[in-house]
Amino acid sequence: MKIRINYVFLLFFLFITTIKSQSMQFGLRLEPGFLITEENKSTEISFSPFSVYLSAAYIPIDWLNIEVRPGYFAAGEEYSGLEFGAFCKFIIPNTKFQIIAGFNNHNNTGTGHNGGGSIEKNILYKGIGIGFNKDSKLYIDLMYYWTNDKEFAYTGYPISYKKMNGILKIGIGFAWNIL
Amino acid sequence: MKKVTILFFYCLAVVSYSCLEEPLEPQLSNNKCSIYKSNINNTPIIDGMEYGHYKYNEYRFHHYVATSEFGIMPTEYRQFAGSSRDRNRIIKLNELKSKWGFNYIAACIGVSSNISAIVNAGYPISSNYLATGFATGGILDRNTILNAGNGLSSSTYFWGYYIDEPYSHTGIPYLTQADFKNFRDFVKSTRPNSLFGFGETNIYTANRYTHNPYFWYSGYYTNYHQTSVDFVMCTRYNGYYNEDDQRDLWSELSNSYSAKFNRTWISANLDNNEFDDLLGHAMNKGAAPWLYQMEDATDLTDNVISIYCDKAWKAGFLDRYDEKLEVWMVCKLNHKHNPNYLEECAWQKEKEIYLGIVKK
Repeated sequence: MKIRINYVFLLFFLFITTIKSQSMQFGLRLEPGFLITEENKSTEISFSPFSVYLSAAYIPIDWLNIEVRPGYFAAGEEYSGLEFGAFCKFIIPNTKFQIIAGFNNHNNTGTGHNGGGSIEKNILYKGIGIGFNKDSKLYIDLMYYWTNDKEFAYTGYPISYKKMNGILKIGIGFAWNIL
Repeated sequence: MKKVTILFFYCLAVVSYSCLEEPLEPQLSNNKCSIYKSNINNTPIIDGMEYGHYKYNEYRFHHYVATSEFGIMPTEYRQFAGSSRDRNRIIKLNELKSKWGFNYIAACIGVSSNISAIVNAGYPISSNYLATGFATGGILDRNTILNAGNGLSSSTYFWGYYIDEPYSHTGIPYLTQADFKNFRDFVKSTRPNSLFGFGETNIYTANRYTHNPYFWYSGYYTNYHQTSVDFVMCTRYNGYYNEDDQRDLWSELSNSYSAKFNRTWISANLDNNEFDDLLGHAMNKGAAPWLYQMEDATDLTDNVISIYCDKAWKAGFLDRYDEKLEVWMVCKLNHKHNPNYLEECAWQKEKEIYLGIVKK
């Protein structure tokens, strides 16, 4: 079954490469985010503006944009690290809006001190959101990310773990056609 | 004729080979005959078995003794052993000094049974017991300093009082500069013979309490509650750039506090690949190493302590003492074997003679 799906994708890409409207974009993104965390059943929302991503997008057909985003997100000592995301944008016909879905992997940097620290691990997020193309170069989007692997930091004695319940990111991107 | 020639050379080869003296195992002797002969006069033949012996000295680790200040903040398992009344926990607590050589302990003041157990383990209150607290204020508050409720007389003082991460302890409000200074003044006024110190993650969070002006993010700020302390420890186990090694932080603290940076933490869990480097650096900086174990809820850490102490011994913080044993091995050689070939022995340990404790 898996092989069959791969064949379908292969045929799909062979087909779409023959379409003249295909293009590629390269760009830069900023993604300030609101982090919704929980510790000892107490929820906290914090904000971090520190993030930067590269963006490479392949647009095989008018209504589909396949994008990868390597970058770095930093929200203090407990949550920071390299990220790599892969997304599909489905462009809503006759509008400038898109529906976005994909995955983002956060490679959390491990740190530690007596009173707490962060856990070194990869955290895979699922993300969904909506985007708006202002013009061919500037776009913004709003994405919500969630994961099942929630623990990312701990507080020292007495030990308790911090959980990431969700991240709301506002993306501002600049893109240029290179193909 | 050809067969006779071959037979002659074959016999010559056999004779030559039998005359060679083959080396035995190095610990036995240079040649098997001397071993055999040296023992043969004393070795009876019993039931057709011949016996030969050899002996060697074996050294087994027994305990360490600190050569200078060598501290630990143990796990809850050991730290609160007294109140648990668990014999195994008491034994583990006692081993910290008697076996592993830690001559100073950092522990919560707690209740009298815990304090008694720690004192009985070899840590006199006024000379080797660092009373610790965290920035919550609930664990090391003023009543605790006055020994209210812990069974000690009000005049009993601890060797030192220590606040862990007044700024950086996550999840709880940090101590303001004023709170920190007031608490320090209270400790020094009521316990003038005790040390007062604290631990922070880097020079910026530490200087926030002790320096005026102090640097914070992008500029200098006035500290209206500058506080003098007796010592500062580093509580972070990664460097500035989140590298594993925190020696850059130690160097900065050492430059900022000079002789007051004379002891520092090493994490049992987070530093266990760097014990060599960190202990060597601590020795170079003149800072006493303190092993931080409070990350562990249980005590499965003997292996880590063993590795840590071995590195500390090599770095010069500990002396090692071993049991010296004389081990006697016996050879059981069957008559079917050629008695000249003792390497065919099945050597077995016969006995061990205890010769005492020696410094390694």
